[in-house]
Amino acid sequence: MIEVDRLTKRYGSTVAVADLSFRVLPGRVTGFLGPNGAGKSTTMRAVIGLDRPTAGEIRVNGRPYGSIRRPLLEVGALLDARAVHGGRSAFNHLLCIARSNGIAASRVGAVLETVGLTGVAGRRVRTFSLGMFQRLGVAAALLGNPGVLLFDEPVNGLDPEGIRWIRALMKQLASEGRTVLVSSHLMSEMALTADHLVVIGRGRLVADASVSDLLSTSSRNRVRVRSPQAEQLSVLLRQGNASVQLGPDGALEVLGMDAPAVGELAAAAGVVLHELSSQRASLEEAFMDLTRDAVDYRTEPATVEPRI
Amino acid sequence: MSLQPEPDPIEDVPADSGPVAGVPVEQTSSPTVAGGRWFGRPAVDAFGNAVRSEWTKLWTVRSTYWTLTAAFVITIGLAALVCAMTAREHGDIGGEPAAMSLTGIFMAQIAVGVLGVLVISSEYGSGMIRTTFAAVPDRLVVLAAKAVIFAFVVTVGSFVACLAAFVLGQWLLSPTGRQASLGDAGMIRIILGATAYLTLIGLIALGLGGLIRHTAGALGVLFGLMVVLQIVTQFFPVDLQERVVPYLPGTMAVSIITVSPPSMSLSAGASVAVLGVYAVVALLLAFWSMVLRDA
Repeated sequence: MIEVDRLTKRYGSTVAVADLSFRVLPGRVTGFLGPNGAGKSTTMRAVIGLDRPTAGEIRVNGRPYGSIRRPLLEVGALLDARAVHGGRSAFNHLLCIARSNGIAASRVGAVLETVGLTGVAGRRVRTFSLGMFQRLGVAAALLGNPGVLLFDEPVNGLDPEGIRWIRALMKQLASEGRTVLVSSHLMSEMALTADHLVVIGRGRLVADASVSDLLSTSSRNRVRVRSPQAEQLSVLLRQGNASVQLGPDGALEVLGMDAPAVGELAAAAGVVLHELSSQRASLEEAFMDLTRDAVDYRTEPATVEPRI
Repeated sequence: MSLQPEPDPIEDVPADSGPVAGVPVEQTSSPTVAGGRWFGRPAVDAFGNAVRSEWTKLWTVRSTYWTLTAAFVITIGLAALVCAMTAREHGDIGGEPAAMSLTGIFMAQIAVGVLGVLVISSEYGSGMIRTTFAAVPDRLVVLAAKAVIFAFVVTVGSFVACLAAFVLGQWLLSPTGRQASLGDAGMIRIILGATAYLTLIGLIALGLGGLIRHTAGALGVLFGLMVVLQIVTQFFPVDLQERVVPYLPGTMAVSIITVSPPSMSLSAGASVAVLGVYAVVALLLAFWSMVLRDA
């Protein structure tokens, strides 16, 4: 388990993370989401003691990372896959890491096998593709067979086969009872892998909820209804305090009333319905809603200054 | 909530416990203690593990072989060149024979300095330092392990190279009849002093690598300290020169490899001691930088 407790990190006058608290529980994949610059990497670096918090603290399995004697046996992290010495072979790179924590050299071969790099174990990593770097980083994270795993944007640079592989790996690690924290700025990626989401924007917590909870509370959830008596129905709906918009295809988009209520209202008034369905917001839309006010680098709709 | 029990015995991660193989394997208490094999300590030894890791790191990159080979070739090659040329002139050899055979250390220190800087700066340059600190969170353990392994390798290597340079050089000088022999007064001191000199210059370089983090920047500062300071002090008034010049790192090699040190230099022993202080200061600065600044 990872406990982030009122973490604040400042770089000079820039606040990267502000008073952030959340817990990452074992047995599920926790997605760590936020726009670029939201503070995801800073938080992950702080978890493994690379960045010193300005305030607050982080505990891994109940204690600060720095007090764990052989941390790789408890925590594996893939933060920056390219952060390896290009002159070493994949095998030697992993061997250096293994030795630092007294991990048997035989584990190196085992994790290389796991990530599918056995064939290039002797090649200098300078020649690797980004996807191979990612696999090497995963291998390093798995070396100590840790119960807690951190992955920062692991699908970057992977080909479709690699992406499928890493999704399956993360799910399996979680199903084995491990704590898995995966960051991404891609909601769609998280929709496929994560069970739980921690969403941050501008260094602050925006949401900490299961994927399904996040979706059901989104303001984008609406009811789609089609009726030959659309005008009569929309008057009724507005009287029921729902807001109604006419969709481009002639269907009504209803906000503020769920599908059963719309159906009962129509039945009571004898209005014929041709279609009635709940429209769930996509995770992408829910994410956009959540982080609307917390995006650092936003593209504003283009506006033209009026000429005087 | 780790699924594993407290990971006490070393090498307790079975090779076949890959996560993909299934449930995390119960970690067995294997009695084959790797950390203790080298260092005679039965318990988990963070420092011993870090040292083993640094040893592996040092010998798995090419720059180590290049710089050490260069240091060997320069130390022994220059001894051969200088002594052979002098022997051809016969008669007056214009200097102490031991010092002539060790002139190579003036150039070998460049190779040693490059290796010392690279031991840390290559990790900052590539980002490997973050992996290193994640594996060994205690910065002091990391720095100490690097310094110990580097000092050990350079001490052994420099001693062999200086001894070989001395023996070869004196053999080449033998036609002049002015050659020294290992049994002469001060000769063992000179060879050990030259060894210590190269090692301490290397440790200063290592400290600068940790402080500055950039290979080129750290090398620039190192050779600024070694060479430029000496040039600058030539423009000082003589009385000030006499007080400052003996303490410049660049003047110490001469006093260490001569039997009677030239003017404006400390004794050989004092030179090694002062150089040792510089090395300690450089390493403390590196430690300070590694602890205070984020990786």
